[in-house]
Amino acid sequence: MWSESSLAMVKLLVVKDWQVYQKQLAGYLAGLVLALGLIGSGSEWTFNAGALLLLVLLVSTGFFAIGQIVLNERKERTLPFVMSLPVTPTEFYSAKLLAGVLVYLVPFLLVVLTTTFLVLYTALPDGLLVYALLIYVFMLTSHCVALSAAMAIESEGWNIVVQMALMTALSPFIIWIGSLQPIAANLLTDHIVWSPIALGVLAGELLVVAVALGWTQWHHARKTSFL
Amino acid sequence: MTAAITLAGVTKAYADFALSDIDLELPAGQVMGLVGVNGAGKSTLFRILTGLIRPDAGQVVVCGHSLPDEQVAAKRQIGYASDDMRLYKAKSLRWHMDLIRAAYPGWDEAYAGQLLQRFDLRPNQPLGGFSHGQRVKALLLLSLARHPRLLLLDEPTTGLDPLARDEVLQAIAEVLRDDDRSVLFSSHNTRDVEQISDSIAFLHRGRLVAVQDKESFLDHWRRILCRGEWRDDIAALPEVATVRRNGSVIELKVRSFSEALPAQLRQLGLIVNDVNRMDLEDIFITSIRPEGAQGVV
Repeated sequence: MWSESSLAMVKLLVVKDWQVYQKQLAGYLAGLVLALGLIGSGSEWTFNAGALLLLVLLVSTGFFAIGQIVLNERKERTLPFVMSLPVTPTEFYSAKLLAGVLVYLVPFLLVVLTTTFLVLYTALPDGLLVYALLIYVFMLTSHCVALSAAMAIESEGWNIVVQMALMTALSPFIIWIGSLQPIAANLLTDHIVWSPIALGVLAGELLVVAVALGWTQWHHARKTSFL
Repeated sequence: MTAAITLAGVTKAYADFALSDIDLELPAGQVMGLVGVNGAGKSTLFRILTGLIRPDAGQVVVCGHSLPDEQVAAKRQIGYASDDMRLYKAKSLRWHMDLIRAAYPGWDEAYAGQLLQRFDLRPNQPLGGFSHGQRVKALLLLSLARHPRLLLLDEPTTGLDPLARDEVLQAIAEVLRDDDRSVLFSSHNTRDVEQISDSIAFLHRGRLVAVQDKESFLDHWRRILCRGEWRDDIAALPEVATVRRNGSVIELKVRSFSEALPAQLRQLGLIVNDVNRMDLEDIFITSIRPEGAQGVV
């Protein structure tokens, strides 16, 4: 159980990371709003352009956030300053993990909620919603795995390898779920169908998120010193 | 009064370097200067004292708190600034001050304002626009303004211009007006160490070579210039640390000078021309040389 002062320090560190990143996040959010606008604008080419822009921005937002919040602390040598604050290693790493997830949840939730609105209240087929949400959760999963890797691996080079691998996996994933019969059959209809397969994919994604974050928290909770 | 720092048998090993059997005590209210060459282990020692690194063996007690288990309680009492520490470039000094104020209840806003003026720092300027000297002063301000019981400063004057150096040393000296507060700082610049330290520790290749109060160092070491014929038993004298010879001129650096030593040297056939006190830099260099080192020019 954490004390009140521990929770206060974790909160302070999360707010600190948020404040360091918020200007760049605002830029990404503006781009995402533009992408969502294109998706909902009605024509096929703006839909495709908006979808592509959305995916690129969601990936970039996450990797940039990880770079700023985790990797840059080592590169910019701000780590000793933060670590000299009255925090334990567990509190420090917990705050990093929390900040890394929360910062991504802002654009993620914007995209999920706006997509849901667009699908339900515009001419876009409602069946698209399941397909879109599974893709978005895959990107959240990738972000959590990349975040866990960044907190475990100090090498910038290896982190880039992990991020490239996750980015490369996106396209095969989109093709794969688009080929699943229960999802493909309802894609262009006005039926939102959470088939067992779709629910299974969603559960698998959320399990990976839980394992990645859980392992990272457990690993760093065992540390008795920062370095 | 509880000692500010107590290290007993502290050891930390890396692949190419080891800090070995460090026994060190800094009484409360004192300033200790830690002198060592690059790679001697000064920064490693500071990181152990702030709980950033766990030693492989030994005990570390800072301000009465055992590290690393009680590091939060210890860090509340410590102000730590190091040469390799950086602040967030895109953020202002004011932002950093607000962060520290939120983390430490003892933050003194009025004193912080005085330090801003004295150090001539602009609080709303992003740190990325600060020079090296301004950055050092900013780090010092963030530590001093919360009145820590112990200041740990890892090379605070390195790379500073003479004015900035003087400002930093004065700010450190001001800390000492409070008898309860202590300072451990490291420096290549032995003049800085000599200027403000009560005691001095020499660290070399991960080992403490010498620890003494400043006056003892300066009182016990001498450089003696002699003339005469060389004899091996001159180097065998226990007081002699190093010898340099140039023809019949012999320079001895001795570590435990006594008034009887010149007479002893005369008995060995030498003419003692001069006996001079050594400065701290000379004492340090001599201390880390191999025992009984001899040089012939």
